Amino acid sequence: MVNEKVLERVSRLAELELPKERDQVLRDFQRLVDFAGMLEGLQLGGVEPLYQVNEEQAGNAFREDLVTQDLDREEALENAPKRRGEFFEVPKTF
Amino acid sequence: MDGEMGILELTAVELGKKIKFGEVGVEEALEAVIERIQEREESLHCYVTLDLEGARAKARLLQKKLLNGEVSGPLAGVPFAVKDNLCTKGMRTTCGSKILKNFVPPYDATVVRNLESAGAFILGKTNLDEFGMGNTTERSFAGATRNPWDEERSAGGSSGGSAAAVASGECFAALGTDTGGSIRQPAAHCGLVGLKPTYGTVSRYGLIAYCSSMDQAGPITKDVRDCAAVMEAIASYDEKDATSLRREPLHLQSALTEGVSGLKIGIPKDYFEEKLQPEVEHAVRAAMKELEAQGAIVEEFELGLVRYAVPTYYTIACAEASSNLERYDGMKYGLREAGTGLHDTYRQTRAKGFGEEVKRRILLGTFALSEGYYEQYYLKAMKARRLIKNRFDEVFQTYDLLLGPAAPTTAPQLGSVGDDPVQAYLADVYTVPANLAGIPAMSLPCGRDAQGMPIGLQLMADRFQERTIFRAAATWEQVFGGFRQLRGSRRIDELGQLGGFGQFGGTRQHESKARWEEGMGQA
Repeated sequence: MVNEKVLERVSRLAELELPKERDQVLRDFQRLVDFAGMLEGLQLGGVEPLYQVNEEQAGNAFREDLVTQDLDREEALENAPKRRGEFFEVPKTF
Repeated sequence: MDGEMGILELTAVELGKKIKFGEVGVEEALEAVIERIQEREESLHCYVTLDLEGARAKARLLQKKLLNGEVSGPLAGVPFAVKDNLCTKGMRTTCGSKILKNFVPPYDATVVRNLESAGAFILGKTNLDEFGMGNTTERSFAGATRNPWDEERSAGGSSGGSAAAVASGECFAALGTDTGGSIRQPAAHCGLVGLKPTYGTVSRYGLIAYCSSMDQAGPITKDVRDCAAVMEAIASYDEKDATSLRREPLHLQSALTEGVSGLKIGIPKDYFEEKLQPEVEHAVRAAMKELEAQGAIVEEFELGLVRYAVPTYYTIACAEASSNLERYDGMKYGLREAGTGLHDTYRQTRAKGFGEEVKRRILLGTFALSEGYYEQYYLKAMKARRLIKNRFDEVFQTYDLLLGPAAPTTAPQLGSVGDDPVQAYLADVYTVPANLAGIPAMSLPCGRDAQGMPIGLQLMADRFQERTIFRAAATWEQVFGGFRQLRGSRRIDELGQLGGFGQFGGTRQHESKARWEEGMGQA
């Protein structure tokens, strides 16, 4: 059973502001958690989790860690909501 | 071009051939599409962004390149649409979300680049449920897409814009993405062919991530041959995608004439549950009988675990989504909603930028990954995923192919999906297993229901066995007819009886018509 406290904790972790009217959100959240809880019905003892399907490929394929110029600074900054000169401008962090 | 058949009636490969032989110009083909867009786009709303002037410039350039022999291949000069979660350099890419409504990618997705290398060109970006999270294309910041077969109905989702654009002639073929059925289900609802490839076959570089361990891009096309051509064009190993696979060339075109003789096809009994719309069951069973008549060995069996597939899928997809969508913090790109400090800015930005469904999934995913719940939810889902994959591995020891419906019903009325998110998720029951197991799966048309809406047949094969799917798909299509025949095909009622001719008034002209009707009668 999840309650408003759990929901608030999760919303804080997810950096999501909850609406003032919580009932609907809480009800949906409860439904989803119950749904995920259906897996209780499975026998999972000794089963290893499967993180990705192509396991025989020895996990991820890594390439050489080389510096390439895929994106120049100006292009990278073009979508910035706020910029100052050649930097992203962000709210005060300290 | 002569008046026998309008340009828009051509498949992508047919158009490519006519362009190659100079019977149709690239600009002429594009203008035909633009005319159709002007007629229907306002009501269908297939696109989030259209760049018609850009497309005209590309068409002119491509025509020159074709004449100079600089581009060739089956798709050279063919106008395409691309789902709006695939990055296109210089063309806005929104994911159907307010948070990205002004985002212009500085690079192309590898699939987009591959498509353009094949000589195809992109005229616009198609609508989707926000970040791919939905199955009706109603959950887009840009508004809902309508189904060209019946504008009161959904085109399916999340790649509903791509499917509606192909079905209406607002492009010749399109790319979609499929995390839990988002290519196959809209293809089924719009009477098209849609393929989700083996995980790792198509690069995810530039596909804006929803659930990285399942996301795959793929074709939505008018027929099986187009699907093969597009798939061959977009598949590639890509060092920019850490889960990309090095595969041998797919050789799909050659599979189209191989037939199904000797193929063992398994019919999962659990894909024919009581919630399945009767007409869908009749049409799918008729297709099964036809493939048997063509030489396949067909057998029913119990797949098992099907009822666990949807909760497993949603737990994993939401968990990965909650992590993937952390990047939308309003700092480097996308919407920023000013708050009282850093964290408040994050929270306000995400509260205003994401839609309800996206927030719901982020909350569930964050919960499933959080301390105290991780073992009980996320880890459990990962273990269930292994059971499901193991079961498919086992089943493919016996069968070359699995056949069933692509979706429990035909396209629903717009606005008919209720408030309960779980009920909406359950509509994905037949498609999510392929994503969990990483196997290829295709949806293709197999009839129309009493309302005239298209019904989708699903074919699934073991990983890397796309060719087997194409063998069966091409065989079925040859009997049933392609998208042109679908419009004139007869409707099936709940008892599996064939009704009158469809709303388009076409007459079904096909050598195998008698056999098809006989097959329907047996169902």
